[in-house]
Amino acid sequence: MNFSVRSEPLGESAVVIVLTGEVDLYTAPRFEDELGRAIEGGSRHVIVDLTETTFIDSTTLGVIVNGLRRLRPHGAELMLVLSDPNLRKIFQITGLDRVVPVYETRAAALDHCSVEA
Amino acid sequence: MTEPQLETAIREPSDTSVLTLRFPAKPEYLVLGRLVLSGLASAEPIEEDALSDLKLALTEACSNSVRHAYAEAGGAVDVRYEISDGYLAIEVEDDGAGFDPPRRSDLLEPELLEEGLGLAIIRAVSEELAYRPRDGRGSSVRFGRSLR
Repeated sequence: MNFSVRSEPLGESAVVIVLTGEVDLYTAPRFEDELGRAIEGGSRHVIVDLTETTFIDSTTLGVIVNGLRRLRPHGAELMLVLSDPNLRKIFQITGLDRVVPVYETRAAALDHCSVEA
Repeated sequence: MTEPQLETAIREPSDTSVLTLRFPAKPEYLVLGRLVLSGLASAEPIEEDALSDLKLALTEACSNSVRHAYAEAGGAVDVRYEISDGYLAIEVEDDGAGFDPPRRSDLLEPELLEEGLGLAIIRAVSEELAYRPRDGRGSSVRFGRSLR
């Protein structure tokens, strides 16, 4: 399956998790593990970059929602980078785009959390 | 162990093309359903957003079968693709225990969660949706949308 996940640390308090390819019930656990490591590592700004992602489903949303739940009590935040309107649709359907900030570019997300790239 | 199977047929007298896919109810095989849709898109004119919607709906339907249908016992998921006159109807069947139960979440729309998130997403991207438990065993979900 065409899927990979990688983390790009930005200083000590931020991380960008880049998902490439298709995220579904089979591949989402690898995203979940990577997100879990970022949270446990103390990241206060977690940016999930979906620019190279070609498919997401409700399993992916579940991972994101669980990440939000774990981060928010610590005042930490999770943001999405997403420009493909077909991928954005599932966030609109579920209303999750009103709960998690969505930016069209990584630069815009970084501007928001004031992290130097 | 179920081996993945793919069959095609033209059903007379209508011009409906029927393609069936059977795969083991395991997460690693979910991609097969989407690959068939990509293949259809190379043979039929399918707009990009229609293809995206159908891949999402199909993955949700098949994921529910994989998650909830068979527990540890294992089994198969059957997918039937019917293309007729610029419209694609897809039916996903399993012989297992049932569909995704409603979930609770304060972060997602409550109306969506009443019927289960998977079904709600399928409903949102489809022009038709029919879900029914089959007599005593398994379930079937049918959805479809125009391709253009």
